[in-house]
Amino acid sequence: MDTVDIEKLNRDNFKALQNSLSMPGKIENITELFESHLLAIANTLLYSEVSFYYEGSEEFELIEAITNSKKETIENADYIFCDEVNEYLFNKAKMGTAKDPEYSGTFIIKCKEFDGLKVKLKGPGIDKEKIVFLPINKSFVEFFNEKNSYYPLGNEVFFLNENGKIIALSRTTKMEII
Amino acid sequence: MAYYAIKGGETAIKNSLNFYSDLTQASQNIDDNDLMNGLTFSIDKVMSEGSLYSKKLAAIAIKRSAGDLLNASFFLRAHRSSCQRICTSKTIDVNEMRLSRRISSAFKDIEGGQLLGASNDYEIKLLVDLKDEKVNVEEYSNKDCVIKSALTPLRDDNLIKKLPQEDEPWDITRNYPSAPYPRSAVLQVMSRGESGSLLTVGYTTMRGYGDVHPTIGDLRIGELDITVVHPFTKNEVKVGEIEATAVESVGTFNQDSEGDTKLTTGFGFCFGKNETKAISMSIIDLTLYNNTYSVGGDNIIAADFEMIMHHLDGIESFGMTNHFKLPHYVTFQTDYQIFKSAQKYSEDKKEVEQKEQEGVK
Amino acid sequence: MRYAFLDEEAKKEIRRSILKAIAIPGYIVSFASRELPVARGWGTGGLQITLAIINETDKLKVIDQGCDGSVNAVNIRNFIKSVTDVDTTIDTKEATIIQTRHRVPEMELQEGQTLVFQVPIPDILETVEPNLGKQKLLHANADYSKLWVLLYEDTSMYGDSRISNRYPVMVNKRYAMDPSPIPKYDTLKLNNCKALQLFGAGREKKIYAIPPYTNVMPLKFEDKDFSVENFNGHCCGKCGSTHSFLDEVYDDDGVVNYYCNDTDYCDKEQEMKGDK
Repeated sequence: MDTVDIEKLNRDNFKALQNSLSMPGKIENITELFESHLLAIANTLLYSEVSFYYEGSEEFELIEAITNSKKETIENADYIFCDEVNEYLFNKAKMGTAKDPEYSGTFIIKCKEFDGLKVKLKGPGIDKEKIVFLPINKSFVEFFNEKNSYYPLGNEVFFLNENGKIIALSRTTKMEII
Repeated sequence: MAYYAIKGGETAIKNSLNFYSDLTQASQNIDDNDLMNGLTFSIDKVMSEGSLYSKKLAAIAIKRSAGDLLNASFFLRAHRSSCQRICTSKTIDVNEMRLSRRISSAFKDIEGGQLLGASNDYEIKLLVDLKDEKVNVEEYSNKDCVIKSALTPLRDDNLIKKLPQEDEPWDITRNYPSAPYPRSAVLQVMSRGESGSLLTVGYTTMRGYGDVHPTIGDLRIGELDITVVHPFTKNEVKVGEIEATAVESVGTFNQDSEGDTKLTTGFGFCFGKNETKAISMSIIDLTLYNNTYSVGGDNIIAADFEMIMHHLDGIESFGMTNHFKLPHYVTFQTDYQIFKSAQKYSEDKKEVEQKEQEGVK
Repeated sequence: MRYAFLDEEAKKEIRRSILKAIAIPGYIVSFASRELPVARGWGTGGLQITLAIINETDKLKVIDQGCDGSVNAVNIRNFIKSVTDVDTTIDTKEATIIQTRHRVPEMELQEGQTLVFQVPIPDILETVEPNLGKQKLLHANADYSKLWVLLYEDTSMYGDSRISNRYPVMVNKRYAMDPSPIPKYDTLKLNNCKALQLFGAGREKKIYAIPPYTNVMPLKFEDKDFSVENFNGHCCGKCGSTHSFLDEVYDDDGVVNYYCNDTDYCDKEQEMKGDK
């Protein structure tokens, strides 16, 4: 059995997460853990002081055990993992407060591919504007813009496709359908 | 010789460390056991401020620092930071302490009597001995000397104010709180705080900067067991012992959250023998949580949570104070330029005013 | 010793703080801040960030007062190398992570680079309000009136702000931020920078960030220019540059000389001039 250097995996995957969030719309690569990219991201982000929400088909128990993170409701979870885009979940996640905007949920959403709706992105991390295709529909864009209009309250979103690629939206990102 | 903090930095550092090593060479040759047994109060201070109970490591740190105890505490903190957290121990009840010393200033006599133990309280501070007196000492073992706090009768009668219980104790090394600060966090900061800093702050309350009139209800030094729950058998297992100092001081009275009038108390606790620190800590605790009257002036440092949470840690204050030795020539250049501009502005203004005055004439 | 000294939990907590900081540009995120073998006040914040983000592909540059050879930069670089075996460099263009104290490199940074600032005092409001609880409320309400009042008072008495370094900036038009003790000369480089800028205050236990391409403007009145340090027409005695921040250096004869503060920039300028 090949030994996996989990800490190395974490630091490589963290770099990808950091790079994608600091430049929304930029595509980065995730290296899998236990043959799953979602679990790899979960293992990178989760630790004993944070909580998660996941109702899906992947073997999250492994990650729960290694990281000692807590399972939580959708309203309280720090990290929300989804097997697909779910607007109901998006709206339910905590957004932080004016005093403590960082006590807010971060989404990691699986999808097939980065195609679908053509959107223009603007905001910090983006050189003027960036056009991308995202696996979302009009109502998600509305919910996203609406929730994040309460900036600094808001949520970040990472989309993860089947090939282990990620693309991120920061709460400062303004989305326009084109 | 000019001071250039530029190129050649690497060699300069190596040479500097070499010189320092020469300076501390003699202390490195001290036997660890001699230090642990001989300078026991220094060891205790370093363990307390380093926030790591290890006499051996404290001894090594003191030797490396050639007696600079705050620097030695820094070594311990850095080491502690690299230790993995395996589990959390059971909460210690100081009433279960095997006492080697226990006094109460609040009462003339208490259960078990005033057990002075080993103390220099009544030592005449003369460097030259007055006379050599022989004293007959009984054999004493602390194994059976477990006595509850002298304030227990008052607690049993429900006379002492109880503060709200936290669900779980905070851990300031894993998560630093913002205001409003949980009491467990406040006590943690003080317990590992720099002894002199606590002394100063506590002292201010004794000179009027605070509305507390403390009496020591119980001061104790002795051994405590550290117990953890075994991860597999789930049984409680004793993993070690520590020596510690605990002080409960009694203050004045005020109303608790239910409107009842109660006596107020403060709690001080630290590793090893350090009565000064534990007493100071208990008085500061008392002042922080009982600051309701207009007595004591406007700026009561000991009642100010911001002062306590951010200024008592020796490693932080030591680091920041000494950081001023680092090169600051860029910031100094910017300060100097601002000064020159401001100076020019004032002079130009004066000139203009003078001209106007002359024009008026 | 484990890679990058810190245990995985410590790294994850720092990483979480970094991601939240990037999501809320200029907002100060609290973190636990582990003690390190380096003293508080000597760069433990910047160090914790670097140790949390660094991996085997990085090239590390560490400068202090603009210089790679400065004693504390040497010490920090050696420590990081000893716990990661990372490639180190003095070439600003080559570096992927640049940890700095008190200066921004002269050469424009590029996408893919990360600038890690060592910060002594993370909250610019400390200048006008030392109470941490009150600071947090002022930030929550975007109430920076005390800073504006200070600016007004200084301007009316001295013609300009008395603040020399740590000049307050407004990030993404929302948070007033302390850029760390960089000269006003460098404050302008923060705006729309192509690199990621991370700020770490170890002793104060705070992390904040500015993503690339973010609006960062110094706090100033509309009708006043933002004045930066000037060197009265002096140029660098080594490379002749008139477009860099200069150090005043006294030699053994007591004569003052002017040299580029950014040593890598100066070396490159000299190289270019040498080629001509």
